[in-house]
Amino acid sequence: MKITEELMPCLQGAIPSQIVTVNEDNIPNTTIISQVFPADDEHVAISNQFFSKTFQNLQNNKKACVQVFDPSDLSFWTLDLEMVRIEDEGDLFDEMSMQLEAIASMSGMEDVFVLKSAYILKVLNFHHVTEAMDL
Amino acid sequence: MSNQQPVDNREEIKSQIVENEKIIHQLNSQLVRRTSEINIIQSISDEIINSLDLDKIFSRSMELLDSVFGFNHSMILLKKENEDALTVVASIGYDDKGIGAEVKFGQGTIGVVAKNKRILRMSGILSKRRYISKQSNNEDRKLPGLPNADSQIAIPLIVHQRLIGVYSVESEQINAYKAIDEIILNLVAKQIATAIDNAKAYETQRKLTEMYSRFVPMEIMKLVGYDSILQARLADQSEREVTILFVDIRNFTGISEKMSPEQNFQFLNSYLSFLAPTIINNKGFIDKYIGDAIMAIFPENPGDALSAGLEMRKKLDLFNKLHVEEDLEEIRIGIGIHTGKLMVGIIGFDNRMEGTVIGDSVNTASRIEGLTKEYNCCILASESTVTGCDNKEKFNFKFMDEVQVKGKEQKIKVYSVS
Repeated sequence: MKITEELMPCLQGAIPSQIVTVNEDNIPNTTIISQVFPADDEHVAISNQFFSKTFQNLQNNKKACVQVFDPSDLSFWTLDLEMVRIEDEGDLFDEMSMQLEAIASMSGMEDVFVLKSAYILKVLNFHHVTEAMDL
Repeated sequence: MSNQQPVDNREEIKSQIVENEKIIHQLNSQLVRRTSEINIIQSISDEIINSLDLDKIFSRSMELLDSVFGFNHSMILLKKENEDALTVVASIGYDDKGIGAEVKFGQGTIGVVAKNKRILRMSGILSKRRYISKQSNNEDRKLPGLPNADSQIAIPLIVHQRLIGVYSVESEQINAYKAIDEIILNLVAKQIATAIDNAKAYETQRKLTEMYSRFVPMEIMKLVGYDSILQARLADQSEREVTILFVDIRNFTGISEKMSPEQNFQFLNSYLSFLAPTIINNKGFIDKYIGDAIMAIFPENPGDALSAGLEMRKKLDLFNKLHVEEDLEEIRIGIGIHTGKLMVGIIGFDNRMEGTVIGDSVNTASRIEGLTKEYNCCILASESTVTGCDNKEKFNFKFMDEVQVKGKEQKIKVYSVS
């Protein structure tokens, strides 16, 4: 599904997002990730630093769900995702890597916070959470 | 039911038309805004690209980006030479301008941009920092800029694939910058980088020319008719009437034998620093140093050379006084002055050229200087200098002799000057 313009403010990493994945026994796991990056019209990317359970889960079950926050109107959106590939080089990886490096270096943690890889996920569907509640 | 359908359709079409008109209007106003933005970028470019003044380039580009695009906290950092670090050279919108503050490559948004030579747009810096701070005991690094910046764009300033600096804008708002801001800043940054590079190249050129003029007197270049050393071509020359002054230390060989090479150099430089200003103060210039001798040219009136000679004698007394205090031998000098025609020009071969004066008059002046020993006087001048002098009343001339100078057929009258 195409990512629309109204979703863009949520994908700047202003507020950390939550991601949910499931393991082989369908037990859900949720964690906080600092940014869901827009990769292209139909894909987003998340950074693999050390959320080992999330990434372990994604090896088994490629489906994931994230909730992102729009700071301009304080509303939430949920995105249904499916992992398509892992990147450890290229423009997108470099940009995500630089973002992490910049933030980490502000606290002298540039050696600890290193981007291992970028997980590219296809956007299957998205909902504005307030609308979903109305239904 | 059946006749209601078309009504609904009409309503739908109507609202669709209204909606479309809205969109067209919106697009049009966006287009107008974009066009004016592009015009402004163009005018910034024209203005800064034509400036060779670095401070003006910095202040104008930041002011325009502030007033037109609302980038109200921005700073320019330049790369330090031979070091992976940047220093703040200009800023706008900060209480503390932070000029001179340093950012190492890899530190913060600016340092990471410098290291990777890639633009970086950041949002939600504060919450991301809080997230990382939870995992670390390290204290936050103090970097120049807003203490609570939440959005930032840093752009590398690159010329010919070489990083020369970073331009940074920041805001306390959470999602202050969009993709379009990146595009605008990218365009402007390219112009700023080129302008800075031009201004720096110009400055280097100016310094080089200035340095060069210490080795090759600019005055010679002017006598040949050049404005700059860059115009110098081998064999360019012009004939001029000038006054030549030779000054030499009489007993230098004896003195120098008693000194180490290092002491010799110190002694000579100190001596020359006493005498050289008298030449410049009297509208002359130093053509060359020949060991302990100075050859100076006075392009205007011969009286200038005579005044310089008298001043030299005074300066020498002072020099000797200081040296006697240090238990050094007193020195005596001889000054020979002659006025005559000379060729001023460029001699040499390809990669080693020199601007110099050549002609009989140079030899004559040098020979006259040699005669000061024989006649036991400090300053000797030829007749041509004495007669050509505009302000004769300032000097006492005493006819000494009519001499046959080596290598010259005609005899020359020489006068002692005091």
